[in-house]
Amino acid sequence: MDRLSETFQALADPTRRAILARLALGENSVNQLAEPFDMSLPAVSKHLKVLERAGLISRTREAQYRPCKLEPQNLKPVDEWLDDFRTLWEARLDRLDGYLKKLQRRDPKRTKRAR
Amino acid sequence: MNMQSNMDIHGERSLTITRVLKAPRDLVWETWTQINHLKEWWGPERFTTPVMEGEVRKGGELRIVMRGPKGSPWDKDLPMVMRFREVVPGKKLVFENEPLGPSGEKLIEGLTTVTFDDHPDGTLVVMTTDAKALTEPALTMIEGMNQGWAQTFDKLARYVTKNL
Repeated sequence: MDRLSETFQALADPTRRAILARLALGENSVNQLAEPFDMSLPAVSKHLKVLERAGLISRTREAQYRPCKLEPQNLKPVDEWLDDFRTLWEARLDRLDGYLKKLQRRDPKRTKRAR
Repeated sequence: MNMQSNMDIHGERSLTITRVLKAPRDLVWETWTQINHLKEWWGPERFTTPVMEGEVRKGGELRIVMRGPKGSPWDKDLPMVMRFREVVPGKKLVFENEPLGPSGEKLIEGLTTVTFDDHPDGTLVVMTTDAKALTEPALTMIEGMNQGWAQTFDKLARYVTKNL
């Protein structure tokens, strides 16, 4: 699977998003990350693997407890896609705005709210 | 006009657009749900919508083909399908928006909710889109091709920003 697709999939899960939110505050060990969740260590490790594969976190190999670190730069492609999508919709709504004005000029009765 | 997008890593990858349209809610609803109206505003300025068919109802779908200005790089068919999951008359629309690739393949999975409310100046429209996933064909196009639809979509958005 491609990186971008992996990023989307990694973000689709609420537990993984919560893990990312925690890592935004600083490095954490697997044990520290598991704490707030009612989940076994292996289950948390599995989520971490998904995040790691998507490039959203990294784990240092040096320290024995292998702390996890957020890699926010890999969220950029997702933001770029959403940005493009927003631009298109803003343009569409501009057009709708103009169209509604035209409709109401043509039929002034339509400016009143129907009850 | 008020724009807001939520791209915080603490939340979902989602996007919210808020707009007040100066028209009564029943008219705004008609423009979002009747094909003859949708055709008039679906494409950004100078784009046309040669195909708009189907029905806005729960479980229904709209098949849409958009076309860019003559002579521009978007002077070709840009197809998509919208599938309606929820239709609450006058109030709310929930649809899957799936821009389609040149051979009709699904490129982006996104779920969009649009709500309509009365506002002192007309109608308040709030649109929220959750980006669920990019499908394999989309990724292939984004990463491998120069002329793919996915890139076209990006360029289109940028063109619109620059030219309007």
